[in-house]
Amino acid sequence: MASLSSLFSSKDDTRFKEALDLYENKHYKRAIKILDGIIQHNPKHYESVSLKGLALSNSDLPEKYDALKYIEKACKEGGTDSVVCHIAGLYYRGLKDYKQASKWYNAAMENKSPNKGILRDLSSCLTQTRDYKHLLVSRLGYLESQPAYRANWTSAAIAHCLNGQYDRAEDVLTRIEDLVAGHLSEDDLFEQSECLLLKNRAIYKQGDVSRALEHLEKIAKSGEVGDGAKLLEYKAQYLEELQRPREASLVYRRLLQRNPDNAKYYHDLERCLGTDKMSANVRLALYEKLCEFYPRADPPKFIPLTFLKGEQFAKKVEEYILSQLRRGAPATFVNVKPLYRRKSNRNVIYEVAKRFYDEEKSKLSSSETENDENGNPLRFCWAGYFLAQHFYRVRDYDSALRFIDEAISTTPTLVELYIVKARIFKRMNRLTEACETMNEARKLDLQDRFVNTKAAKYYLRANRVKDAIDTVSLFTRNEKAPNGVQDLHLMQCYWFLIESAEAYGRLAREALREWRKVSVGWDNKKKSQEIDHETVMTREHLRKKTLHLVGLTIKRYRAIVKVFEEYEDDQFDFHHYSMRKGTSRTYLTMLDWEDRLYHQPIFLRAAKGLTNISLEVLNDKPFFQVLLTNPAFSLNRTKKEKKAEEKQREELVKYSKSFPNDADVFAEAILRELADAPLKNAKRNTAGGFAQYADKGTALTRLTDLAKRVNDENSLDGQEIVFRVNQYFNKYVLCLQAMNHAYTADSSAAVVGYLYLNLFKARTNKSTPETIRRILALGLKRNFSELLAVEDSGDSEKLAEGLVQNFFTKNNFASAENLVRCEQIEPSDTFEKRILQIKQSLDPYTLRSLSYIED
Amino acid sequence: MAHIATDNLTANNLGQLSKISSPEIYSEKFIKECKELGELAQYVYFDEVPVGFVVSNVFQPQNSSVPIGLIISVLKVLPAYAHKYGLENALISYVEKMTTEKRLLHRIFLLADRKNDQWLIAYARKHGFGEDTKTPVHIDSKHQLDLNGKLLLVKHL
Repeated sequence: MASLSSLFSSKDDTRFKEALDLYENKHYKRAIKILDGIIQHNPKHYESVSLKGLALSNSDLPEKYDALKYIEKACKEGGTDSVVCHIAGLYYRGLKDYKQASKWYNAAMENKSPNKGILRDLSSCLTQTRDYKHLLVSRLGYLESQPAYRANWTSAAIAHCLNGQYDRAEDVLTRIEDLVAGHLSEDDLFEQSECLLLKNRAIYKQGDVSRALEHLEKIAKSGEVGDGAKLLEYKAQYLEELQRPREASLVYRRLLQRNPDNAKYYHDLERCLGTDKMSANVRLALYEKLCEFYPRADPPKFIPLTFLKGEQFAKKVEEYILSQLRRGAPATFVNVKPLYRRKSNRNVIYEVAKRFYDEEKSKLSSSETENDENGNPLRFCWAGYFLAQHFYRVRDYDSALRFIDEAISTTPTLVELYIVKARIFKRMNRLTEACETMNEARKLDLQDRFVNTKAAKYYLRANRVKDAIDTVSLFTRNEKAPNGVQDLHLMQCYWFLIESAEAYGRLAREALREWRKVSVGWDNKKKSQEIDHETVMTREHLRKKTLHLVGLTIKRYRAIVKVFEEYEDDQFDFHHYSMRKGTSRTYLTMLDWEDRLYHQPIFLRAAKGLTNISLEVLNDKPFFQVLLTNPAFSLNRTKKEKKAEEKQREELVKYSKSFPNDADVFAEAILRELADAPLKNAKRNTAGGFAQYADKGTALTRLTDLAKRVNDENSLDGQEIVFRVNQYFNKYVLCLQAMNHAYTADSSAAVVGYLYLNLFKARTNKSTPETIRRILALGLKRNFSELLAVEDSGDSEKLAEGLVQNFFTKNNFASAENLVRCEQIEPSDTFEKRILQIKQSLDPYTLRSLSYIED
Repeated sequence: MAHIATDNLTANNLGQLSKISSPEIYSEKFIKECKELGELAQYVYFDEVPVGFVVSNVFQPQNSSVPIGLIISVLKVLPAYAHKYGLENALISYVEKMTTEKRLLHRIFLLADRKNDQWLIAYARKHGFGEDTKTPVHIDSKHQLDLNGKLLLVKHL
């Protein structure tokens, strides 16, 4: 901005410059005062008008929300002025509206702003919105004006890469390489190393693998690349792709020398040697040889267990397990757990461990003499710990409990034993015992954050939110707050956020159930004066409690969404910073990660929960409106009652706040917005005005935005959310598309059956427009013609059978969950029978989760 | 052979104490005092797992104006680990070392229960402890010990 200042000459311009200085020094009030003076006698001084808008938006004046008005006015009437455009760009960037910001930065450049620095900001905005086509222009433009910095060359090369122009990227990198050759200081070596590797990848991406290999060997020889492991990995990859597996295998052997614990190298090596397709004996011989070379590494011992069978497996797995159990390695079970996928392995492993366990046990009871080297109670405990986990894995929870109890009685001071015991209790759905056992473990070592976290999580699973918060707060910063909830929000601790959202969700469900019960015939009873004061008060308290719980559920889910939005925003600074630091490859990895940000399981879990509860409110607005309304009649509360209530609420507010100035602790505003949402197919409110920035959109917009974010073709959860949101808006064609995506991702997924039934119902629903019904009929026929043939006969049990056979064959939670939901919209004996069947193979804890859906 | 070591009680691992002493339950107050004894109270670790502890005090009988030694008032090892692995020895040796090297005293006392600590009494006798009937048992400490049925042993260092 400073360079702008030199351009002005007239009196207004001089004063504008003065205001600009004040703005830059954050004296917004004084700047605005001067600007007001200019505007008053020269309303067409648009630079001033726009700067006033910018200053206002940064200030904390009450007129803050008028900022947009000034910016829009300046842009509309003075939009050809480069300074106005630049200021508008800065304004929108401040609001994180990077699209608008790019537009105005771009306009500033088109209006011949001499300030080339704008291009840098523009590039960041364009990358943030993934507008790579225009990014190239701005990066190259900035390089032209500032060719003396290597960062600008790297930026240009990366822009080429992002546009898939790897040849041009190579050109740019070669040119700067030639320019800096011989002028590198020690500080530049890292950047040089990264740039060389980036160039190598650019060559490879052009498809010319042999030239990439040649280049790689050249830079390896030069000694300018610091990342030795990557050099070798790339080399092996290139050699393999060039059909030179023997040479590649040698490179993998060198990689193994560097790090014999990386299991991937072993698989790579096998692929190059071709042994992965050979007999087990050949492979075993290879691994035995490797074991000799790397006796301390785990993979060469473990990998053979994944392909050996029968006697050979038994022998090798015994060696593997016993060597660890003898050492008393706590993680032994976790190490062999992947082998449990093959059912025949399970018993073999059990036999080995049980034999060891029995031997240890007899040694303990027989040896009475001092310094007996054989018996070791700790080793015995770890063996029991192993067996308990074995039984947990094969779902024999009673046996698991027996073994862990025996271990605990031997060594009651070992934290790990209690953790497993708590897990067993959890699976048995004995949740109170589970969280109390975990808490017992926690008390053994108060400074162990892991077990503290576990205890808090187990409390949440048992719906004991207060205990959980009190426990986890031992490890948080609790200044100016009664507990760590605010700190956990600030620290983006999303395990806590999601677990508490789900705990509140379960409590809300229970409260809603109770509320429904209480509400039956309430108005009539009230009229006939049958109800005494106490009953009225109880009902009112229940109403408030229910509201708080539903609200907090939404609130915590939304906190997770916010955390991910922050993650998205966090990348902004790196568009510039990474170039300066020369970390180009890591930067590209980060961009990839950010692109998949909203498809992470934890986000999907939160999105699903948030969609469920939002739709529940939207689909039953009158019910929630009653819940949100204060009772029309007087409660006749005594002063004491009122005071107690107020105090309780105050405490609860303090206890549940997500951040210091949280005005809507229980998300009442959001709930109200949902319950009062306009008609189903109302158009999205896109009217301008600051309002949309003050609170980005309404509850409905947020819901559709959420669906857009998770719309990944390969994600079942994502497609389910997209489907359900569109279903709410009656956009059946989009629903159909979502179902088809889900079907392509997994044609036997249980959720597809549920979605199908929904669409089928819509197809036959008279209120669905005729054209839509026709499209649905066609669409459903495409992938599901067999099912549809059944349906046309009008026999709903046959339809149910068809669905069960196609989508609900697995005995897992997903099947049960979707069946229950199917049953809710289309009751059928077939569904019911199948639900009962699946239930028998589910553990008690999963059944509990199911019971919340069955409501 | 397992690795054996001793270490102080800390605010964070006091929970272990009642697990080891179980079924006997100590009062919160007693446990807190044990911690405040600092190096006079120790856990013994068997391969990094605490399996026993000792609580000792400075011993100054009523008729004496100076401390005459350290007295072990409690010594517990989990049953599965007791008597076999030298854990008791590690704890007693620790207190012996404290007596001579840190406190510069020359007598170590052991207060044992005639009925429950028979193994310990026998062990102590074998390792240089003898019965002391002369010194009146009184421990200058805030916590109260039930002295009924207790036997006082002493070893001159």
